[in-house]
Amino acid sequence: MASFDRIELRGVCKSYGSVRALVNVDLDIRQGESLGLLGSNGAGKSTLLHVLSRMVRPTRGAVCAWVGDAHAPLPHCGVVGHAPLLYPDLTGRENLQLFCQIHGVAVESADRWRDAFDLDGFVDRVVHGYSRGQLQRLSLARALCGRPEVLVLDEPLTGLDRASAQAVLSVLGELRSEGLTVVFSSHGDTLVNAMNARTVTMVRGRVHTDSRSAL
Amino acid sequence: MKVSALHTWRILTLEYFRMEWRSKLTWVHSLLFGSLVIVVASISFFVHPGMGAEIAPGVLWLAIAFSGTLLLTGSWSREREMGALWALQTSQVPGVAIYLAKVVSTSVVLCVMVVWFGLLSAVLLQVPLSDFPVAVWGALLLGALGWVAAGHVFAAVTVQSRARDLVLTLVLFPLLTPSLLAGTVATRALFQGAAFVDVQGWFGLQILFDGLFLTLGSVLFDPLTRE
Repeated sequence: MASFDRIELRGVCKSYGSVRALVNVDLDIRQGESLGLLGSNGAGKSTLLHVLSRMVRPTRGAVCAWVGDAHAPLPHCGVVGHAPLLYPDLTGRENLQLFCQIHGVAVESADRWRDAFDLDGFVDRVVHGYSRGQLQRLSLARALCGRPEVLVLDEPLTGLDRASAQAVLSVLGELRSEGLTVVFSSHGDTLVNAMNARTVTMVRGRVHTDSRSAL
Repeated sequence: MKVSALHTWRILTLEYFRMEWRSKLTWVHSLLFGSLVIVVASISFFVHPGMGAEIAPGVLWLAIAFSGTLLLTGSWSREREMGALWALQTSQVPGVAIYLAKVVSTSVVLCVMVVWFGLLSAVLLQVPLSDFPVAVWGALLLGALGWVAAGHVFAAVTVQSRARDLVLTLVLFPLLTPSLLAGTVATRALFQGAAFVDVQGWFGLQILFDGLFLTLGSVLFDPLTRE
C-alpha cells in the first residue's frame, strides 16, 4: 500500500544566484498518476524534478505528502537524471547490488530490471566504458531496484535507440498499471502518449498550463 | 524497508574500498608522488649520515600532504563523474554514513602509504628503523587521519564550486596548518630523542583537530552537499 495519497508543491521557488529557475510553483500529484512536464530548454522542468526528488532544496515554498488530511513522510523517489547517477568504477551488477542493499531490498529483486532492460550483455563490465544508451538503461534499473513509490525521470528516452526506447516504454506502461506514480520531463509527445499522462507545460519557471485543470 | 545509518555506512565503506582498489590511477599516482618527494629529498639533502634524521620529519609530512590531497581529489571526482553522490542523497542515505565511509576508506589507504613512506625514508635517508619510535608512527597516522577527515569536509564545501579542485587545495592547506605544525614538531622532537611526555601536548592538539573535523564532517556533510 502506498504511503501517500498526494504530493503537494506550494509556492515553490528556486533561484541560482540571479537566475529564477522556479517561480511560485503550485502543483498536486496524485498517487498512481503519470505526470509529464513539458516546456522548452530552461523552462524549469529539471529543477522541478530535482526539488520533487529532494536533490535540491527550494529557496522558498514547501513540498509535502498527505494521506487524507494528515501529513505523511515524503515518499521514496527513484531518480533518472541527465547524469546516470552511478559509480563509474563499479560494474553494472555491483551498482545495482549497492542500491538494493542501501534500500534494504533483496539483491535478487534487481533481476527483474536486469531482464526488463536487457542488461545481460554488459552488466558485468565496469560502468566506465558504457555507451550513452547502456548508461540510461542501467540508470533506469538502478532507480527501480530500490522499489520507489515515485519514479522521477528527466528525459528518460534520451540516448536510446528505437528498440531500447520501446523496451523502456513497455516497462513504464507496466509500472503505470501497477500503480506506480511516475513524473517525467519530455520534449516530445512519445512518452506522454505512451503513458496517457497528464501534462503540465512550464514557461520560464512557472506552470503555464495543466491538462487536468483544462478538463 | 528502513535501513540503519550504521548498516549503510558498512555497505558504503566496503564499496569505497573496492572502488579505491579498482581506480588504480588514483592510489598509484598518490603513492608514486609521495615516494618521489622522499627520493628527491634523499638525493638533494644528503650531506652526512646524521642528516637523514633531521630532514625525515619534514619530508614525511610533505609526502603525506601531497598524497593525501591526491587521494581526496580522486575520491571526489569518482562521486561527481556520474553524479553518484546525488543518487545516494535521493536514496535518503544519511550524510554521516557517506562522510564516515569516505573517511575510513581514504584513511586506511593513506595510512598504508604512510607506512611505506616511513620504510622508504628509513632506507633512503638512512634513518634506522629502531630510531622510529612507536610515537612517531602514532603522530604520522593521526596526521593522516586528520588530513582525510578535514579534507572530506572541505571537499564537501566545494562540491558545488566549478573550480572545486583548485578551491580544495587553496582552502585545505591553510586550514590544516595547526594540525600539520603539531605533527611536524612532535615528529621532529621524537626523532631528536625526546620522550613521549615531552610531546604529548602536540599529540593532544592533533587529537583535538581530528575530533573537531570528524564531528564537523558528520554534522555538516548533508547541509554542505545539498544545493
